[in-house]
Amino acid sequence: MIDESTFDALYRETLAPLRAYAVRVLGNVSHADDIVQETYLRLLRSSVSIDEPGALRAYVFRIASNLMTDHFRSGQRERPLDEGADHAVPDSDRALSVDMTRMLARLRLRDRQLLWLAHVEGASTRELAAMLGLREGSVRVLLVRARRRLAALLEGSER
Amino acid sequence: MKPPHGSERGPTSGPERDYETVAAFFKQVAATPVVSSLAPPLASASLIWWKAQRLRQLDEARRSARWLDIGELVQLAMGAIGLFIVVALWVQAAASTWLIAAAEPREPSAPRAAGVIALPKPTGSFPVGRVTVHWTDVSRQELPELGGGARELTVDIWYPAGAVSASGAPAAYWDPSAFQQPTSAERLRGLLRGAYDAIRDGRVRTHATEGAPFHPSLQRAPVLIFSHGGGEAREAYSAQIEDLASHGYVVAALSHTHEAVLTITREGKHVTLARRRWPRPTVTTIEGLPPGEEASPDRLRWWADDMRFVVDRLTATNGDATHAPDAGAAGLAFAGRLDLTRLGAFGHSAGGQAAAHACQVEPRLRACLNQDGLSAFAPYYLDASGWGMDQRFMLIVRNTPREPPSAEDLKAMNMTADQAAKLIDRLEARQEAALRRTGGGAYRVLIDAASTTHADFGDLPFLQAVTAQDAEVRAQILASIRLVTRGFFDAALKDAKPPLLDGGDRPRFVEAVQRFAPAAR
Repeated sequence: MIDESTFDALYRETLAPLRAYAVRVLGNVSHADDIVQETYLRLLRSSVSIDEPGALRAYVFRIASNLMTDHFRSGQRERPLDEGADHAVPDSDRALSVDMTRMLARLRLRDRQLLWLAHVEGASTRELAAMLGLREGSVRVLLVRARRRLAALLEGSER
Repeated sequence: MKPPHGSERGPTSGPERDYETVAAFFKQVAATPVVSSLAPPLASASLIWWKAQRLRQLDEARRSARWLDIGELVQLAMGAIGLFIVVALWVQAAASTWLIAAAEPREPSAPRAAGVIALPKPTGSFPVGRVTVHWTDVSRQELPELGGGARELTVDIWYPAGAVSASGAPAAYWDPSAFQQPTSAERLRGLLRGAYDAIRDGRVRTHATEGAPFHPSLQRAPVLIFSHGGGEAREAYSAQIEDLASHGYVVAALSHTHEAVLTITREGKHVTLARRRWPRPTVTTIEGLPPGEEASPDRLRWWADDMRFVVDRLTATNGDATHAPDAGAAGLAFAGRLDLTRLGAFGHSAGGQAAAHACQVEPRLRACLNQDGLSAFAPYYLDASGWGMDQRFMLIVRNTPREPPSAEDLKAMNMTADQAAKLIDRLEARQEAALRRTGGGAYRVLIDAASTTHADFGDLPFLQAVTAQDAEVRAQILASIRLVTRGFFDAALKDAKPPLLDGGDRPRFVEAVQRFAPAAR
């Protein structure tokens, strides 16, 4: 089990990046916040003992990734990336963000997760495999394909 | 079109170029901060730590008692009641306490006889009839993610019946078809737990007769609307409801579709509990409590609207001096026999709060009763002008001992002992303030918390009891709750003067009956 001071440090370090991950990948702030809170509760309820901060951070992202997948599978919130009222877009840069959101919305959940974790979190192939429950070999292939899809979308939108 | 992967070298195409494009895109996305004016700020690390500690305690309680399947209830308690538990634990109150208490192994004593279990006998003189109706509220639409369409409600109507012939079919405690779909059965198992087998097998007996004729000499009967607890079931309150019907009340007990454990629609469709139907409130009305921990006003309104709609349908079914009863009402025994000028509402837990709110928004209701439904100590919210309701009100609440928070709790809540004490004072003052702002006066009935649980307002603890001794205690608790509930409505709707509301003998488990005088608006 994790002790309180370790948790405190972990929470301060990971809250903002984890929330960004959940919000951008799910596209809905309140669902994302539920997942973020549930992630930490699951971590603390588990009997896992990890001391190395990097590994702990990866573990947190892994729990959150699983929760997102469950959240989609549960079918209760099937609208991916809804652009509804609670979307996390400040009015000032709405155009830009909505555009980016639409790009992401056209990818599958797994692709959004892979790309975010690889490009924003800088996760290695091995970490990605652990976070998303995939084989390392599959991660490489899936990542290349996901990049291809997003790049095609981005290039399409530029024309 | 792009050439196939790897057919060209260099950064102008292929995986390398995709990488550059995607990396640039994510750099931009990641640089855009998540800003939301709507979502509440997330909880502090210490609050999360503290909640997790409580969850671990519940995990432990669950492990130590295998017969108890409380998964669904724990989720409900943690999700829906939220911080109520945080506060409640300081003062050893409701939800989490009863979950833990229920997990404690009971003392060995004589086992209860197997076989048929009859609900506690109704105490009134009328036989009881029951019909189930399905009504559709076309003025309200369900959320698209819940399938959309008009709001459908399933309602049991219990009423005083005439002499019941031996051939009359006893009303089933629970619709047997509820157990025929795996998902429904699973959900019901989570709620009914130790009583599951007996209920599924039809071994629980009501005292009602399905579709019996209305009592011939009772011209017009007062009417009560009943609202179940969140994630609960209208069926599980039959003992209370039958008793009222045996004393001459018509009781309409509805299922809040999507928020009951299971609702079976007119077409036989099974609608189970939808998790997190309502977003958590993003504002708090109490300084010092994180937002999102009080009852959702939208949810209260939706539930109260369910109750108002049932009043509308009963009115249409009943007909009046100028309107004949609805077509289709002819087959309903209670048509034409309802006295809708004598109308009240009651409910348990979330349903108790909804019943209180119903009085605030529905002037046709003359009296409302809330059974153990508090949100941060308040039985209902005062309106913007500080007014509660015009009608009479009663709160029946478990009298939880007040204990000061421990040093550990204070640390978790980021408060000094003084701040915590002040918060609790404010919360208690809220309850009293609400009770002092009713036009018809209010009662607060305190129930002994050490011997009772939050669930004891329904039938399940009685049905789940494994020893004869425990079954007897649960039956006595139900008897006291029946007596107080009926006393309140007899006074409000039948002009009776029940002694227990007037300083007379209190039934067992009732510690105090407090009266709050009517106020002027």
